[in-house]
Amino acid sequence: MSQPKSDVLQGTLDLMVLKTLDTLGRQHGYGIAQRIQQISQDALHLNQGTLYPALLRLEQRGWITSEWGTSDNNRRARYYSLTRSGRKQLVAETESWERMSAIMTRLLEAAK
Amino acid sequence: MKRFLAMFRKRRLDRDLDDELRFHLDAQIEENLRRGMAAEQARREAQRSFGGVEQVKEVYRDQRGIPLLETFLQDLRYSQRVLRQSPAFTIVAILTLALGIGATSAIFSVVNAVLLKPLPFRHADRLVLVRQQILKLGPQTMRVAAPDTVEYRKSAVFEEAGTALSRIYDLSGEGGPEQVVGARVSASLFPMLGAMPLAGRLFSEDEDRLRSQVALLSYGLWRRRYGGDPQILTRTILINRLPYQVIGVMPPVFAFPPRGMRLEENADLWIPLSLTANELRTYLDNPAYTVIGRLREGISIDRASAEMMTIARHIQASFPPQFKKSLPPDLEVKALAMPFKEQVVGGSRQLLFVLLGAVGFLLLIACANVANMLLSRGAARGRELTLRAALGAGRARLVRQLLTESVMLSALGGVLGILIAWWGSALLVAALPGNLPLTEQIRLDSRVLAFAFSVSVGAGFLFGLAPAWTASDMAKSVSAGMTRSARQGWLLNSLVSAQLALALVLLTGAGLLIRSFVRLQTGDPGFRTEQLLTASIALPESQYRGDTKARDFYQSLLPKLATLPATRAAGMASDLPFEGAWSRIATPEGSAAPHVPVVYNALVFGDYFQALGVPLKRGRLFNESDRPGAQRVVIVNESLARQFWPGQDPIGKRLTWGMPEMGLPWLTVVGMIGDVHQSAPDEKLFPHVYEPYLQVAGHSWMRKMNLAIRTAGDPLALANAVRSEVSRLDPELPVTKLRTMRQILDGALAARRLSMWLLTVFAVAALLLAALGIYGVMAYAVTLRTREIGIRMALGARRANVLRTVLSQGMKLVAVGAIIGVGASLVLTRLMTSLLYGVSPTDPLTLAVVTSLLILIALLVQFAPVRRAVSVDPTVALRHE
Repeated sequence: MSQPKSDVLQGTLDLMVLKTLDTLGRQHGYGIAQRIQQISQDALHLNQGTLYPALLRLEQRGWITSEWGTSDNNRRARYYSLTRSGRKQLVAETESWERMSAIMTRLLEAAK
Repeated sequence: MKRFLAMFRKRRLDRDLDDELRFHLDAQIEENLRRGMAAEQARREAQRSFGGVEQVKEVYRDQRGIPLLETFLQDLRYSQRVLRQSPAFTIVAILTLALGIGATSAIFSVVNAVLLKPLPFRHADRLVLVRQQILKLGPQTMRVAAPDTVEYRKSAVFEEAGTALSRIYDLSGEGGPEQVVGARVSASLFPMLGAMPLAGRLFSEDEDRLRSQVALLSYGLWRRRYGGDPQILTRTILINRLPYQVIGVMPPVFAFPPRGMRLEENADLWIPLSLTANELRTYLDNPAYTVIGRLREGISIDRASAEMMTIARHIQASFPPQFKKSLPPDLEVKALAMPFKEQVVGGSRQLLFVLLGAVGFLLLIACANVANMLLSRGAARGRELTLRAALGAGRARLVRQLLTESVMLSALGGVLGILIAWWGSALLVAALPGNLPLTEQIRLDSRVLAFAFSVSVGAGFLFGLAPAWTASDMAKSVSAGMTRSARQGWLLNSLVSAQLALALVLLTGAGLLIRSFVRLQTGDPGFRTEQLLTASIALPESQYRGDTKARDFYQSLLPKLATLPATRAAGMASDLPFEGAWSRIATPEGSAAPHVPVVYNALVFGDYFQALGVPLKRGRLFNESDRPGAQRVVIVNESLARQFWPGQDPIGKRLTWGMPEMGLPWLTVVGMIGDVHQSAPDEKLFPHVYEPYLQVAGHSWMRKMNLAIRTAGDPLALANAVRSEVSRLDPELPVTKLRTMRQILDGALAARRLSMWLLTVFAVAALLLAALGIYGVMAYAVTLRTREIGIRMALGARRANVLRTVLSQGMKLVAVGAIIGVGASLVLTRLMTSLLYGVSPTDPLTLAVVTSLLILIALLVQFAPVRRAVSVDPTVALRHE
């Protein structure tokens, strides 16, 4: 808790999950959480539990699907993967994120 | 949908979630262990980075599916608490609804039994009757003459077909003389209907062909007359004084022909049809035979009718030449196939629909009443709802809660209503007139229960939706202090006006039926119905063959009846008023126009006209000089005189039966009497020719005569004397239909009486509910305006002014309701034209009376709230909250 951590913005978590699944392919919740944690180099304050409602939300929207499978250590685990419309959504959200962050960057630069 | 299913798969999903989360934690712990943490620390660290497991589960579950069932149960518990808190409201609402739902379901149970259920026969939907029509004689359809039955039955459109002929039969021997309704039926008929005997067997084709004297008994006759004798199948009984072997007893539910086909009683007896050679020669005449066929699969009713028409043409073309010559040249016999069910229930349809419509209106008014109560309560509950809204209940959630309450109310009303319906339909079965068919099928079966259930739920939504919407509207949009939105006031007012309008329609319908009924009861049937005893005697052919035997019998009976001490006048006729008569073709002498009028024909004997009290208008009545061999004379009624000899004196004019070319004797008119309602009190007058009994010969119907005796005192006191006079002449001869003319009239009006009473009861209930509705609204309005009235009065407004303002608000609602009600009545009462007699469906007097009645009642119920308004004490009112 020594260094400041950012809270995850509502909506950005969805994008993170989609991107992670795009990169890793089929993955279980724990794997997704590990990956996000790893990439953000622990700079992100993520309650891993909040991941699950997000997964459900994405599934309800049809962007990801889930199925039960067996993990590396032979345990029953739920695996998530990206659907075709999830992939499209990822593209769209990435674009809008980039546009948004470009605007933010310019705004902050200008204000300096 | 997925969310909805989620509700049911809840438990499995919860287990899956547990598994998934446990997997996550375990994996994290393992990872932590691998990093070298101690076991305890690894577990704690994993939990920390995960966050609250239970919280996650809660959020997850919430998101997974609307827990509909849970909220519903929650709403149900809450509703129950709310309803228990205000028992007076709850009881009144439930009773109102129970009344509406119960009455509607009771009437529906009759509609279901009569109109919706199939006839209780095999493949009843494909059974048709063959009906004939001679347009020259009028639009009514007839049954078929004996020779034609054979032709129609041969048609290829029928899979099977049968013939029946209903008749009255004399039973004699052990058990005394009595008359029962029976039928001659072809051997093919009962198997086609899928009827099986309870005991014994049905007729065989051989028995039909060989005229075997065998009989089937109804269950009722077997129990009643033969005491349920187990040896009945070995017994021989006397039918029309001829011995018949009993071969079977039919089950209790079997009724053929079903009532509604102009028969008031179910048949008790069946014998083989066995058409005689004489019957098979009687062309075109006596169309009394019913042909029933079952259509082959896929044959439409139109196709069958076309086929019947072809056969009718073929029959007419093959009449014997000399018979054909005696027919009018342009006479055409048409034929058609009519669904059996239609023939049985067709006449009852309008009555039942009017009753169902009326009771539906009553239910609507009841719903409006409960909606009114809910609206007023919604205002009172404003605070509670606002609180719930503030605590985060969404609008949908509030509406759902309030709807749960109203559906719960109506469900309770429905349960009570089913009890009322159960009781009500038993009452209806007892009160229904005998000629309403299929009433034995009335019961609260699954369809009636399903109807009651849907009506209850539907009613709950109907009266609950608007109040729930406005209440939630209020709760969401306004602060707790405000109690009444404009929309709610508007809704209340329109509900009251709608109630008044509906009540007015019902009142108008009831008013029209009452007026019709009074017309019929007090209207002049053409004779005096009081102190008149009637009875029927049918001499059996086996003992009274030929004209003279029957004539001798009646000639010896009549003087005995005429000299009974209580007799004022005694006579006989082949048909009494209200019971129809023989229709015949008659032609006046010298008639140039080739028209063929149909007139009633009756034989009269003794002082028949004096006994009835029919006024003689011109000429004379029959007397001793009208003997056989003397000049053939007739008496006609005014309708006939008007039609045959318009504007002329009928006395001395002549007419003949059939066409003049047929060479029948000319009959001279010696008297003209007033018109008598011969067929029914509510049917129009008909031309009538009366002949003296003694001058007529060769009619089979001369054996059956009806007595009419005007008495000094109670007519029924004479009944035993009549019976003993008859049995002195013939101890085996039954005297039937011993009753007063009043009883005949009452019987003829039974259906009207019932529908009048039912509609009146519905209308009065509707009026009461509507009155209650306007009372409630006015009382509520006055309460809301107490403060305003106080201010006005403090500022010097006079009582009269206050009275006017308050009253004008109420009367505005009444006026709107009355106008809409009158408009709706003008449209809707047209649907009941056939139930009316002597009044037009838009009768202005009825409308004026019921509208005034409605306004008067509306004024009366406003009296209390208005008085409260004008007696407001300004100082109290200003403190009123």
